[in-house]
Amino acid sequence: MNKKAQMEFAWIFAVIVGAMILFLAFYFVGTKLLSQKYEQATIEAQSLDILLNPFSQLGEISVISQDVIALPQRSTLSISCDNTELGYNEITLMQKNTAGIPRVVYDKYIFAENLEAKKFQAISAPFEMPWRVADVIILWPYEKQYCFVSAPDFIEETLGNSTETSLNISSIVFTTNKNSCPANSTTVCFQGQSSQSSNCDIIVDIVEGALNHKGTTKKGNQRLHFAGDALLYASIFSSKELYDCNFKRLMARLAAQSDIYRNKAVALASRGCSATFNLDTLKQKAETLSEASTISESSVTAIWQTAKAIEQQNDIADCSLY
Amino acid sequence: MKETIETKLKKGKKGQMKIQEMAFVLVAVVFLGALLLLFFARFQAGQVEKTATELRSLRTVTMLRVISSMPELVCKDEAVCIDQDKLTAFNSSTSLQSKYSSLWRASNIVSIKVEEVYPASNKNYTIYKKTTQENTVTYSTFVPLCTEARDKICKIAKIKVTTIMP
Repeated sequence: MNKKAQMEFAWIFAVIVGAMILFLAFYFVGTKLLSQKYEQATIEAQSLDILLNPFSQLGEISVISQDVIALPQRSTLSISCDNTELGYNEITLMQKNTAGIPRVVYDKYIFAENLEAKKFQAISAPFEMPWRVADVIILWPYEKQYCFVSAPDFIEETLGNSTETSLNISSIVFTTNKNSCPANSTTVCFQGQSSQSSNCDIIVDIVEGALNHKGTTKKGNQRLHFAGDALLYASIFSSKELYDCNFKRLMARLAAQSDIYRNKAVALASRGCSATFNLDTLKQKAETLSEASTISESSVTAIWQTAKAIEQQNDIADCSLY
Repeated sequence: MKETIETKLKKGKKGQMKIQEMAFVLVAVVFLGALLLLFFARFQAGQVEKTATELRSLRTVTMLRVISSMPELVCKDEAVCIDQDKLTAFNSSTSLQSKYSSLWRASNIVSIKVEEVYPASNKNYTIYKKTTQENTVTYSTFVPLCTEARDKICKIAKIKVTTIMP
């Protein structure tokens, strides 16, 4: 009886300790694997932010630039945006269904749709209103093809391969006939130039002339109003929510910069330069747009006209402001 | 009969001893396993910390260039150059400094200063400053500091970025 009891105790003890060891082992391995994926996604989101740094401040080095960013593995890149004060973008990388810690970036304006890829095509273009406010970064999956139908010459010269300085982006095909677009490509039709706009995925309506390259991009029922080349490209490749939010962030930045340029104008005047600039009007319009619930075509036109007026004042000034 | 009881008792004690031995061995194995896991976790945490330090220093070094080419500070027609008038606007306006503070806070930056180096001068400009009790490290680089009017007059300055160590 005693021996039997001793044996039972030995079995129960061995089972309990064995179960503990197995539980600890499985728990540790499971946690480790999960945290490794989490850690990897977080590190890559940070690295992506660093990789995008050279794109965000091009200064006078380049007007527009492009590069391909390759990640170690296929990832879902999600960009969200907040436009409180100067606002920020939040980069989240998801790898094998595990999302890393979102990376908050205050100094970048990333225009994209939520995308999944291993390689990303990135272009950076300066947003000028009338001075360089910031460089916007536009991202899309490298394997996704866009077909630009009857694009104006300046777009083909910038993104295509028609000149030596062209960016030669391989994922954009230029054609004059929509029927010659590759299958599965996203068709982008330029309405001012083409009568083939029906059934296009994206329609870009550019108003040229005195107010150069201002207009509207239509994506289904959505309207994205742009002013300047950088926002023209951004409106094609970005989702409406991200576009509107980043547009408001850019306006808030422009309003803050107006204060700096006003101080500079005062300093220039103290050195004997005669110059008058409508900086307060620009600041007020930028502030209104940064706080607006929706971006209307008329408000974009109004700020663009004010910016053009300052550009003319700068051209004839004794000492230029920017 | 007496002998049989004594033998049984002896065998029982021997059995108890064996169970105790096994129990101690199993406890020791669990303890050793836990220790190994702890060491492994510590090692992994060290690796993560090392990566964080590398990423942070890489980011701060790129920030040096980014700051000196920011539209808010850059001279006209130059890529890496600080406009003294814009810098003075930043230095004298706390509202501007606080407006841009979110840009630096996210990068764990605690201060950004510009010092005039040549011609020799004690003039310092503050773009951003935050007090901290944590350990910090400062990265710096030389940058032209120019005043623009009808002519452009340039000095050599040093831009210093102080960041919190992870």
